[in-house]
Amino acid sequence: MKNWANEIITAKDRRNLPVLFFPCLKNIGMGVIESVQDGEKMAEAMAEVIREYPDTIAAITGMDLTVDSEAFGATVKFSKRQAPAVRNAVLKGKDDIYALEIPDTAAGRQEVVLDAVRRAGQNPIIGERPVFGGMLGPFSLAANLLEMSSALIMSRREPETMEILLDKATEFLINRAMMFKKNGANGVFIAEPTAGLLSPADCDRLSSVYVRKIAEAVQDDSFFLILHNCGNVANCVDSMVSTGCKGLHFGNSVDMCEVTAQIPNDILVFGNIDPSADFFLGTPDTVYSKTMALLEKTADYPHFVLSSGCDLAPSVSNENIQAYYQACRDYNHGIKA
Amino acid sequence: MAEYNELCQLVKNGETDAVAKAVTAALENGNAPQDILDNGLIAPLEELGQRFQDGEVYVPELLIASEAMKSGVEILKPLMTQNNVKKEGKCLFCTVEGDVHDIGKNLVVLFLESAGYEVIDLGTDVDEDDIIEALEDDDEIRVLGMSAMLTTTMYAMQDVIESVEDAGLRERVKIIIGGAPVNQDFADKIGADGYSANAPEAVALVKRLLAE
Repeated sequence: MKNWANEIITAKDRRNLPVLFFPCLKNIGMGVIESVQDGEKMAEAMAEVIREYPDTIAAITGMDLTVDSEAFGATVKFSKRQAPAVRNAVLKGKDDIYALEIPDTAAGRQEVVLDAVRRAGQNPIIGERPVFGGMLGPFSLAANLLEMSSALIMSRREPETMEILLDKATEFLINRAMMFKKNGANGVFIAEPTAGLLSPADCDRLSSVYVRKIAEAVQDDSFFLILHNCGNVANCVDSMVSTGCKGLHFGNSVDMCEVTAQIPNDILVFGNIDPSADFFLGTPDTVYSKTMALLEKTADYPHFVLSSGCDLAPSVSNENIQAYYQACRDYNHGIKA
Repeated sequence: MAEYNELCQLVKNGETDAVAKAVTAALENGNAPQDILDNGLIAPLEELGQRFQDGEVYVPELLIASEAMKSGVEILKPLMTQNNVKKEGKCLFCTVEGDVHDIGKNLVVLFLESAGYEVIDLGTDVDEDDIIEALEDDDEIRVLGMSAMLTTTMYAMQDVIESVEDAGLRERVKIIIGGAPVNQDFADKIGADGYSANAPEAVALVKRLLAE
């Protein structure tokens, strides 16, 4: 994976890795529910992303962010048209946090995702591309388990209790990342969107410190962590860099040049075409022009990788996704010409 | 207003118990409930809301301040006359199906209730059938507010609006939306009547829509 990153950084053309799973399901007549409950189906859908868009530089498991919470006992709502969603908080307060046991790596649907990783690694369409597993970040998992408002309030009123919950969430996530590694994944995409609601100091205290523990436990030259935070985190870039993650992924709330300029050239920086305003609401023309504009303004940053700002919903149109890829191809053609 | 400086600061600091005591003391000193509400409870939240928009404070500060504000509102509520409740402006709020994030929605509900509106809060992860049922059960509801925080759930708002139209309720009900991934363009595209980026704006939006 070190070579993978080095190759991206030294390449003359711009590379491309959107968080693209659910919109491609319709191409193969697969429903959202089966894609997240059956490892074989998930791997098939991961391969479909690559088959349809071969410029994609890695395969990522379905960005189902309920798997971690479900392992702790949360109920998940499955829908035909939307990504799965957590229905209830697992924890009611301090006593529950102290009593909380860390689930093992077989709890819930973790094995479904591991099965998908194993299959994706063998899939000829995905080929030599790296395979990334997806999981929540520590603070986002804690917020799911406790309910977000309660977690944010507890982080201020009872910081010691929140630290205990974050320690437990982190231990679980380290185990989960280890299992991804053992099952052949080349890295993990850590979704930590809830940290985007925090001040820079809190982002450091409640998220980055714990993400750093995950990185120290599992990241090496063969296993690559990408930390995603889609909040308005321009002031948290130093904190995100301090995690040691070798990739940082940003949402559309930030100016990519502003954040990329703050990040050392040996860390890949991914972002940030708007999933809503551009991919969903836009037309192929507007998606193309927004993507081209982003590529042009980030031209001076060798460690920039084009991506969507967040996960894309199942209903995003193929035409808009195609326009996004076409812009990158045209941009690269312009460089070569 | 100077006499409410201390109360405002207590609200901003999120000192829930101290706010309740200060509101009680203000009442004992003869201050009018509406005056305490406007100048001692709503004003500091509006200030924090503006500072949040400007990136100076963050969601946890808003939450602990709104908790503190609520402790004061609960004391004042029984004292507010029935005439202050704008029943003609009854609102229904929820977070859409598949989404359990309710911070923004809760702040909007708190601000609307504090401004005198009657609000039915259906909570989180509410499917379109439950929304339609609630609208059909209460023909005084004039505003439906929906919130979403996820890019994967925001599209449920469009389904709800279509269902409201199919149920023949659209003329009676103004629909507003909010949440991190949505904006005015999205509101326009799905046929909502309005979008608000924060709680104080939502109150102004409801007021404007109901005056139309």
